[in-house]
Amino acid sequence: MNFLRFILGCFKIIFSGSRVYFAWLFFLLMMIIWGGSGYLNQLENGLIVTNMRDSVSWAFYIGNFTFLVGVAAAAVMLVIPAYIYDWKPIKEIVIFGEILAVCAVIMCISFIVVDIGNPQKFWHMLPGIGTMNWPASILTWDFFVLSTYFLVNLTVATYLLYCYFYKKHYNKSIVIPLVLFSIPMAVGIHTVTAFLYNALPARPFWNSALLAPRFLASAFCSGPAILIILFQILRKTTKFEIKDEAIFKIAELMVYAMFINLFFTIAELFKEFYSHTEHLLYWKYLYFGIGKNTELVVYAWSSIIMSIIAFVIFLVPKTRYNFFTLNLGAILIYSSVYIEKGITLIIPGFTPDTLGQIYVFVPSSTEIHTAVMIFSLGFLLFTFIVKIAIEIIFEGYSIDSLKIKKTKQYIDEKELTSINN
Amino acid sequence: MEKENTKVSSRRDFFKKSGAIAGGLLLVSMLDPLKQIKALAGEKPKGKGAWYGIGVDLEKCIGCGSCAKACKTENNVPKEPFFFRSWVEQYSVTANGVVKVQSPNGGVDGFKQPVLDKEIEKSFFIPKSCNHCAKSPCEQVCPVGATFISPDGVVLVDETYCIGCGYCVQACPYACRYLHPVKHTADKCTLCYHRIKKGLAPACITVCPTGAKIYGDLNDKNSDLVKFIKEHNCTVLKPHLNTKPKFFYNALKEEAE
Amino acid sequence: MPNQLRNLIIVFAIFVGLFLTARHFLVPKTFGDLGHYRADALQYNIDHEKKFVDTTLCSNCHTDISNSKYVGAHKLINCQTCHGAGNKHIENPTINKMEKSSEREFCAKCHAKNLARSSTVIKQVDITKHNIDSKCVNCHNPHSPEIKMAQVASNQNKKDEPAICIMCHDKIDKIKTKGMHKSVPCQSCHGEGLNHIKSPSKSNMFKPSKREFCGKCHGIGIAPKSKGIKQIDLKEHNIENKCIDCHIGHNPLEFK
Repeated sequence: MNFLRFILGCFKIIFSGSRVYFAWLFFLLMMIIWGGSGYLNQLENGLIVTNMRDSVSWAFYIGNFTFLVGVAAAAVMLVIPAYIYDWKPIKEIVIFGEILAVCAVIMCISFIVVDIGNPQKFWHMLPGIGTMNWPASILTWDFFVLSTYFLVNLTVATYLLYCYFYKKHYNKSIVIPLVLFSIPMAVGIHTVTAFLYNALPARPFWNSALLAPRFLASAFCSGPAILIILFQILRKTTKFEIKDEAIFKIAELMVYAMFINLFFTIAELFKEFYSHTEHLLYWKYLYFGIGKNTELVVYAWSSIIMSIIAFVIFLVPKTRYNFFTLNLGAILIYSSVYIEKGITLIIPGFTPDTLGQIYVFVPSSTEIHTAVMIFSLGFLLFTFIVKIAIEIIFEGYSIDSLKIKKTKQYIDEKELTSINN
Repeated sequence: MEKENTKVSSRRDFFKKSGAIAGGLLLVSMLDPLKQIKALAGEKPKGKGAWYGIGVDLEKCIGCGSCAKACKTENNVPKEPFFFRSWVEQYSVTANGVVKVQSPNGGVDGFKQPVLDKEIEKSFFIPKSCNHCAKSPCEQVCPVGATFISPDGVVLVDETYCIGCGYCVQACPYACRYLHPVKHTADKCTLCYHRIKKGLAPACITVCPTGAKIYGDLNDKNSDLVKFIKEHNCTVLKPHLNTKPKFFYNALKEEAE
Repeated sequence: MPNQLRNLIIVFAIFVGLFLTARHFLVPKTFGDLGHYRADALQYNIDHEKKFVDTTLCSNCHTDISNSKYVGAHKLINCQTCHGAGNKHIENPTINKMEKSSEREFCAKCHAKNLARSSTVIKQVDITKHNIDSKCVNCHNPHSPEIKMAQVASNQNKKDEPAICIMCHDKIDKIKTKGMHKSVPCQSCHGEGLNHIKSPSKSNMFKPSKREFCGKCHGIGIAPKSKGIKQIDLKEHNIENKCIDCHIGHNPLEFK
């Protein structure tokens, strides 16, 4: 019953707000409808309406999936300083990282669902009621760890909000183990996602032991980058509070991740280009193009250059402590990782294909529609949960607000009747 | 108060009953996973029954594309030029070692007579299809058990059960799988399982005009395939991947391995 | 046992119960019988309809064709390699016809010259040169390609009359019948052709090109005068060129 009241409170928060808030919701809703039309087309006609073919059989959807797994994993990275080092300024905002993780995982699973030909048979993959091919298939592992990670973060976020709502102190023996558990899980989801590619000897481009470490390093760059920007927006537009100190601490942690990310990239490039085996073909296509096919070269280099610039910005204290350059750096590293985890990770895995042919993949309008739909859905969900969290944590919305309103309403009605009388 | 008490006790009854039912079901279905584990433990009849494989004598292959065309007919493979269960490639190697691979419409319409190019030193055709690997990566990665190796060594897809995730398409080093645009499931060569189980040769082998392609039981010492492998210097495609393919090529050139 | 714990256990038991019930109904019956798959899927694959039929069914009706086929170089080739799957035809032969292609490109799929084809395995011709005027099946019996149509006809007649030439060179005949040379037999210009009919690629026909050859009929003072044959003074008429540089031999009033 108490929990139902909490849910009721949440709904009340969601359906009240400023004009800007409703305009934002309306915009997202329009994007969902616009994108949904594309996905309906795909449901009707199958994956043939995408530009994925035999040669490039995973593409835009899976690229977004991989990127979002990174976001989900890295969002929880904030937990580490907050709980292990008991770093107070971050502790209050850890919950936002967890909310981001929850939304990112939902988007991830949505991207898997849209990428399969028979989404109505998706349940075949569930443990127990389906016939999950566990432990042989890495895809089942990935699905399993993602679901677990989702449940852990959802539980923690909901429980914390629930306690704030009822003005209770949360039970440390429940929260702390779960939060600590979510740290290896965050590493786990991204590692398993990397293994998803890594496990295919048929695709030499992915068959590198450095893939999982690179995934983690880049995720720990992009996830906090989103949070840095997000916290600043929230700080300006709502009563959300965060000290500069906390933002700079996050930025400092990102420097390590960015350095490791660059280092891994260089290590990989050295190995491939120096040993010059037949597997270099894919790297050549990525960084220099093969013949007239130089589609990816711009992306590959811009990703590396953006990553280096962002690293320098974050490394130099003067630029790190300046919000303009800090935000610039965050945007650069975010774009760099989005390219790295999307187009330049997936496409060279397939190109040139086993026949030596080059199929130039460009996402079809259906794919873009569907991706917009999923991102808008994710943003909508994220907006809702963040609004709930801000109102409960920073604006003091609680069980009392529900009661006060009720009594107020009661008084209003009484006054009305007395006036009528 | 009394009312509430009865309510509680009846609820408890319900829980007890449902608990008993659950327990019973648990016992019943405990047998299920055991069955699976037993099957996994190696009761695969590898040594006993047939263990099918394919062989091609590349010296005899003339690249007419009859196999690719017949396969499309026999198995209702979509006509579009990017869906193939069986296809033919032509390799051309120039004197300075540049390898060019062609497969216009998978060879279904045959290969046009090439314009004479003095640069080209050697050229050869390779008919390809599923290699029916004994350690097939596609079977390994399928998340739901929709792709499997039949007891006689043929890699098959359970169309009714496949979710169409496409993971097997990535995992196949031989590019022999595709997502069927109508069925929305993975699709591949079945070695014409419906024919071989009735004693007929697969469609591609039935129509091969030069008898370059054969199939047979690797466990049967007198089968055509076993004789073919003994008499010829056979290799498989991409042996370094250790997928144990069962598609044996005679006279396979190094450029194609 | 505290109440809460007991409630928790009960709820848990219900979940497990529901889960197992769902599993009971959702997991296919034969899943796991043979491995991590639905054993019924084997039968599902076996039940697929077959399209290519046994060729004894073909020879039951088309005895003459199969007899001629079993002596030639195509004897080992399945009928359906060229004619497509026979499942529909055997159901209703009058409505569902087999595929039949007489295009040069069809034969070229196997017989076109290609570096990748072994000459010991298959006879190849350069289809850009080999008698480009005609379809392969005009000269070669597709069911037994050693049998050449013209040879069969000449064996029956013991002659090399134009009708036999036309069998392979039908396009030339079409040009010829349009013009003044339509009544001139092929042999008048190209000579005796019995050897060419026997082995067309080895023994070529005579191809006249000299002015004097045309002059035999058309030259003033050389040819016997007769009505309807155009007479030309070889010493004056465009002396630098050969006749066939301008005139098409088979239809001389058409110009190149």
